[in-house]
Amino acid sequence: MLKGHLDMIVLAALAGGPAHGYAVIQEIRRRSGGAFDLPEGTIYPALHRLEQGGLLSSRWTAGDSGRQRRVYSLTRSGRHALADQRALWQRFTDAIGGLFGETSHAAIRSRH
Amino acid sequence: MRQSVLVTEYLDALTRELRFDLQLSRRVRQEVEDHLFEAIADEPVGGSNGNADAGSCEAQRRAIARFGDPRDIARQYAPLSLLRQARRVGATLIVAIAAILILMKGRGALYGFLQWRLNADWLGELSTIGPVIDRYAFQGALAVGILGWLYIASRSVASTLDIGYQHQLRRCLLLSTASAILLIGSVILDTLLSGARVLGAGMSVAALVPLLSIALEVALATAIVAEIRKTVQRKALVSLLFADTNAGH
Repeated sequence: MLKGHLDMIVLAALAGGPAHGYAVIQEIRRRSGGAFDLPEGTIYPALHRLEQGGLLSSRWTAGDSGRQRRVYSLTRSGRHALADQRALWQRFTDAIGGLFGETSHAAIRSRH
Repeated sequence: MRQSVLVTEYLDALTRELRFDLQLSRRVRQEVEDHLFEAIADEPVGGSNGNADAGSCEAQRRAIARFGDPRDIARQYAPLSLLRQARRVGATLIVAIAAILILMKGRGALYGFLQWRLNADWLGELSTIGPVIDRYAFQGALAVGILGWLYIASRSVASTLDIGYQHQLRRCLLLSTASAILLIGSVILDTLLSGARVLGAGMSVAALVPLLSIALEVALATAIVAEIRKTVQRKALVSLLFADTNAGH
């Protein structure tokens, strides 16, 4: 399930501002409360794919240690895509919530 | 922090698995190197019996294990790399077609201005049907090239190399190859017909213009062939990467 939503997760992790791959992984782990503990190597193909799709842009910068690191940021299209995904996800969770609510109501009614 | 043998070996393995795309492998290696550097620095270094070296080794192993298997990672890059190459072929074709069109029009204007006609005695029927075949071959290359480019440009990168995506990539290659064959046919005919005109008119300084433009056309056709060859090679290397999974199915 996580794999199918990887692009959305990466976009969401970058919503706070530009970050390099390792920081993106840490952000995903932190914001998901450790629930999304992905194999770290899977993030980079996703970052490259989103960049190719025009949803992210990237550039090399010098890190604190002087090492070259690739920093990714959302493009305008990326922000739009994230907003669309967020709205879609909200509708989905509302629908599922309603469905579970209905199911539990029905179960309560059948018990009485 | 100095790069350890473990990290170097891991990066070498990843680079080897990504050999289907050298440019990509260089970038990935640099990114992963930076990633592992940070991941290892964040690892708690304990070590059994207070041995700092053993602890450091353990930290590196954990960071590498968390990153994942090099082959699995390389497989995830394959859809992106293959589509990028397909786009490169498409772009090369469009640029070549546009450049060859300009060169052909320019040569046509020069022949008209200098009154250089095709010698029917030398070429026979080819002096009549040659320019017609040339025109249709070029128009065919243009039509198929534009169609191919539109098809390639409308594809988006998939996260996995599934059957549907492989079919799309195959169509990209077929359209590009069909356009390239027609274009190469047109360039060969251009070369023959221009050679005949130049020989008929006699060698002069003015003859350098069509000869140079033909040389440019041949160079463009060669660039297309090189890009298509690169695509086929990349596809073959990617197939090797998936060979064990295909054998398992």
